[in-house]
Amino acid sequence: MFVLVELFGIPRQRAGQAVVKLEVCEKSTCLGNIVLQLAELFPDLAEECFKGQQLQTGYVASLGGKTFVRSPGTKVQAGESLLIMSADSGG
Amino acid sequence: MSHFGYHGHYLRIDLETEQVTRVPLGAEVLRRYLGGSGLGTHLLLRENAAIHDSLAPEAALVFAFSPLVGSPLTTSAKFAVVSKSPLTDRINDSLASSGFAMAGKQSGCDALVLVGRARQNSVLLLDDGRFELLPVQGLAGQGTQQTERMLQKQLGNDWQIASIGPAGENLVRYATISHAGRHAGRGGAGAVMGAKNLKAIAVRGSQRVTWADGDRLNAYAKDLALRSVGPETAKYRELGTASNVLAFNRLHALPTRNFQQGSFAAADQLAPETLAVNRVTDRSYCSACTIGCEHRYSLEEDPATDGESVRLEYENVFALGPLCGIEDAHAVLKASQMCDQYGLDTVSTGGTIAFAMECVQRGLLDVSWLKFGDSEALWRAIDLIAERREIGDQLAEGSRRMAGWVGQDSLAFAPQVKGLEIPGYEPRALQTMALGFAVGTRGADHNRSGAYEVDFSERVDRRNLQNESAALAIETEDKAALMDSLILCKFLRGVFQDFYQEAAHILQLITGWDVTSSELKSNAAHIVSAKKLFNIRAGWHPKEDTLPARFFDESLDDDRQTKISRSKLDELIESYNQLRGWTQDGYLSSQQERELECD
Repeated sequence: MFVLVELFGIPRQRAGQAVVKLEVCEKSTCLGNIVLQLAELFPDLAEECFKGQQLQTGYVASLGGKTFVRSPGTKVQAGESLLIMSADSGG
Repeated sequence: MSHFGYHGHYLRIDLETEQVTRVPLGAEVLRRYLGGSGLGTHLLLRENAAIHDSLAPEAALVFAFSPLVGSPLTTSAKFAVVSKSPLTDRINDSLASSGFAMAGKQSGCDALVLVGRARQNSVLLLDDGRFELLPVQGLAGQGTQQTERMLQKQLGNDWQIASIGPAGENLVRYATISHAGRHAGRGGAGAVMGAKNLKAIAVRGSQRVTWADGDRLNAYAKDLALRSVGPETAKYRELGTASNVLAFNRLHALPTRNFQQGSFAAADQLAPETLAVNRVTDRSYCSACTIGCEHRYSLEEDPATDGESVRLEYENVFALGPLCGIEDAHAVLKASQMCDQYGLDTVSTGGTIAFAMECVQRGLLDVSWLKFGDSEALWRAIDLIAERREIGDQLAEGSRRMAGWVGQDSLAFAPQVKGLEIPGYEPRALQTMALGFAVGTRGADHNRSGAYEVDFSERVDRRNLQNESAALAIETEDKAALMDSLILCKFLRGVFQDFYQEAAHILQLITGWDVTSSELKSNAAHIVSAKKLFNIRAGWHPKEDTLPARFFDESLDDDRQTKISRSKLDELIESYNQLRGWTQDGYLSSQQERELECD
């Protein structure tokens, strides 16, 4: 089972890739676990965008591009897409 | 009277009689309106500018500086241009940056109020407070950057110049005022300047203001500068505002083909991540800025060709790319460069052309070459707009007036609010922003309402209007009003833990006032009410606070669930008005009106 993580902007720059397919052991996981898995894979991404299990203030995640979430406990279902991007969308 | 951070007066210049008046500004007015947009709005109200046609000689055009200009604070070199908009007939405040702000303030005033019309096409010189009008001599018809170059060659490099391009001279209703490649862009301030027969304003000076606590201000400025290069601004430093393209596209929030869709298949080709692979890039800074958000890309992919480069912002990419169905990055860069040179607001240019393209698509307009996705058509339309030739004469009026000319219910899909073309935030996908657009005093505007920040958070469901949206929209609008009056760049906003608290601290150090965060909150709301008062005097009606019918009646082709509920939006506009202390339909309370009139 997988969660598809799509990265935009600075998170994409730091990870060096746009999409990451993360394996999950159960039917669902949580945002905090995904952040930890990503941090292991991409230390530069973690340094800039994460603080432990949490997203740094300037960053936000979105479930399937619909709902924005930040809480590490937020459930993410296997098969779902999780987007990580800058929270500051001004321009 | 001496004030820390201010000169304590403005210069009122009648261009027809060439009479200059130095008008004192009292401490109460400065403390309440601060500078920039706030002070500019107050001065427009003093001039009773709402009742005049925006392009008439009596119309006032205000250049307002701020208490922070000239200070060591990062991003503080900014000025506001405030007038009645020829595009909306409502208030318009546009901001630009850099040396003009500093030299303008050093010329010895806190604002310039220009009234009347020069007898011939002229350049206004302000040399340490001394005023002179020069005939333009060879500048007529020149592009904005060429005008600056020619004038600096003639006058000297210590002069800072704000100018208009051919679009302003030809009274295009969304012409800009340009300085150092940046533009006071929205709402047509360039046409107001053109109507005054002013091609350029050149300023220099040596009159510096003093700070109440210079040592602590320097220490604070160093700390802010350090914070300004942290993760909160990484997006602007590394990719620029155009980094919105891919994220917005994924969220169906990237307006495409005149808001018929919210995503664009070729978005990848226009994203900075792709442009940077194939083109030479560089980055530049406004004066007194540590962020450096300005990203430039070579016009051509081949680095061996002439090294011309073009500044690219998200709004240029969206408006001249997806909105017009243009996939080719070169076409967007070239169109952007053309707008810069002509002095055209890219959002209104792209918005009006895209509207006309949809009119052609629907068979409402017989201009067969003006098709979505056609780069040559985009360039041709921009040329015609700036020169006001052929169909360009209608396009130069903006989408709302053009819809009046086309008729046949085309107003339903003219992409504007109060006449101002909607920026690159699809209202159906970002519905708190939709409310911000509807109630905005300047019209549809992402700089005066930052409600998209709320949509990009867990606080709301961005695809549905919610009861909380009204208060949240006010929160972002007030914050923007304060930032635009101090003035500080909005790209700093993520850096502040408690913006109002820090803003109060900054003002204490600069002015010596015992100002508090709650006073600043109240000032911000007061400034928004002052703008509303201007609009009411200019003939505002509650029916203006809405969106084009398309957003209520049509869902996005590529996200079928998204439509805006008209009744919910109306309900939230009433809530918004009540929370502002206005009447339910949006007029000021009599007490608010009295207070504003006493200022």
